[in-house]
Amino acid sequence: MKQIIFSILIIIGLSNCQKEQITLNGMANETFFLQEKGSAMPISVVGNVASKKMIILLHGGPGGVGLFYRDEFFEENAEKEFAMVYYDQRLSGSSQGNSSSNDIKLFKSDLLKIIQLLKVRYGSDTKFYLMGHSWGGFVAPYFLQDIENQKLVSGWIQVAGAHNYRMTDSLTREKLISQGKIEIAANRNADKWQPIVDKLSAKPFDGSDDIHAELDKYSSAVEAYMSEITPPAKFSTVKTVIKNRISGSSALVNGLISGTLKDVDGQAFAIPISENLYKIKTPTLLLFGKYDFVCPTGLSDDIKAKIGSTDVKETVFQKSGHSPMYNEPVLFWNTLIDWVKAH
Amino acid sequence: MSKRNFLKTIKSILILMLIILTHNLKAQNTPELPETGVKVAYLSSIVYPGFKIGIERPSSVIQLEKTRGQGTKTIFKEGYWTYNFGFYKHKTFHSNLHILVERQKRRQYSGGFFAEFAPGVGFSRTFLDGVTYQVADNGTVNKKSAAGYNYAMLSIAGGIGYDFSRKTEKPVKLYFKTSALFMAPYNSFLYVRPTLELGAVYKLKSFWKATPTTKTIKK
Repeated sequence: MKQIIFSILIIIGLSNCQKEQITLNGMANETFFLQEKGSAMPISVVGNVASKKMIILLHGGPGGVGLFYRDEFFEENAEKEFAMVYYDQRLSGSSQGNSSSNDIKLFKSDLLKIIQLLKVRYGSDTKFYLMGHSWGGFVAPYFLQDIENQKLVSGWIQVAGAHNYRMTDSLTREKLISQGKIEIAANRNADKWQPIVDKLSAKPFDGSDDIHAELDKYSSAVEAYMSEITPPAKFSTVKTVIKNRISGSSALVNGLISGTLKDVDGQAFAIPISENLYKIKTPTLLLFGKYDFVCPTGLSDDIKAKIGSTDVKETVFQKSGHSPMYNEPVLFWNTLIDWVKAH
Repeated sequence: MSKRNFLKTIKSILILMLIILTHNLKAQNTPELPETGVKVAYLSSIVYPGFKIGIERPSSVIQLEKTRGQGTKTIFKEGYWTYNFGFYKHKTFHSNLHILVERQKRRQYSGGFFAEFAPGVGFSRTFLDGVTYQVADNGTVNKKSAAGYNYAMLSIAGGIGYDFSRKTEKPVKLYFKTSALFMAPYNSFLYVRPTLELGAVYKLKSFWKATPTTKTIKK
């Protein structure tokens, strides 16, 4: 019996030996972890590392999943040209640990350490681009407003990002009411729009974060009522989870925690990103959807008006909502790839 | 484990079941008291492989005799303590070693089939499935070996099975169970891991002999 147990432990021990695999040429597909302040965050580097350009995806949420973004267009476009870095932020996706702090400053320091780690693994000559979507579009400028951090990054790609939470809520409310009135007048899903318009019109925006969850709910739902938005290609959640070895239950638990017990984005209301945009001199690409109610195009206008960078390009996708990479993937990736190649 | 190996494992278990089913069939009127058994199981979390080994030791048997018309139906309500060692590997996430003590309640029918429910408590140690780094505030990068976390574990399991010793001389039970493993503190909360378990219990007469309490209830 002792021999059997001993043999089993030996087999398990051998199966858990972690060999460091670093791909420096060709196509990489490797996952490793950063363990930092109570959290072990998985980092997957996938794609053309020989390009020496890495796009770090900052997922939405908070509590989203980096690899959940990885559809066929990411694989066929971004990963062929550059290396994509998908990582799960703390309290998100497959990030694990006993007790992870939700201090918003850690989201910034984690990103710094990830870039430092990537430089050690893949070479200090590697260029990094931050691609922040939604909540990730808060993390990116929050990181970049520290001037030292800008030295590590060659470009900021803001995809329907929420850099200013209070402004986002205000713009979302305005857009829901104004677009809602247009839709009601045209008798398009009027029965669905009317209660939203009535409810929001009756409550003036006071800047409090109480309305945030309600606006979030409406703004996500109304995309389905807009025929102008090109629906995303069919997406299989189960297939994506299995293919990318995502821990579905961890993602569910973390999504729940980060929105409730460990309120992460509640802290974002108190952080003045707009006021500090003048500090950001990094080349910037702004990619927004015309019919995005979650992060309306007014946020892009705010960045254009206040950013310190002189190299700013904006594309508003005319048939997109909150995720132009899924609504208009061909145009989206052409725009992004051309810009990264030029920077 | 690759898909091919997974299918191979399932195939082996099914062949084992078939061999047991087709040999030494015999009628047996007087059921024996449950005995301590050693169990081996394939443990998987949907697509991620693992195994579980352990011991189940009976602690109580209630013989329930239900009279229906002219016949009598006998059901055995068996209680066991089970002591388990489990392992699964979720590639790029973690490997999980755990020890688990379960209070298993089994409803054993005289024909051989049984249903069971088992809450359990244990301890889990995970190992991150990938090279793990720590970066100091000055930017120095270090590798950390055997990185992972300790968790307290609770489990709830339920399943069905067949005890071949009821009708044959084979001291074997086969079972299928689903369970949820709860691990805490996971990011200050709880991690839930659904698992499937397909296993066999081999009764050993001379091993850790049990003397379960017995009781008969007639209805």
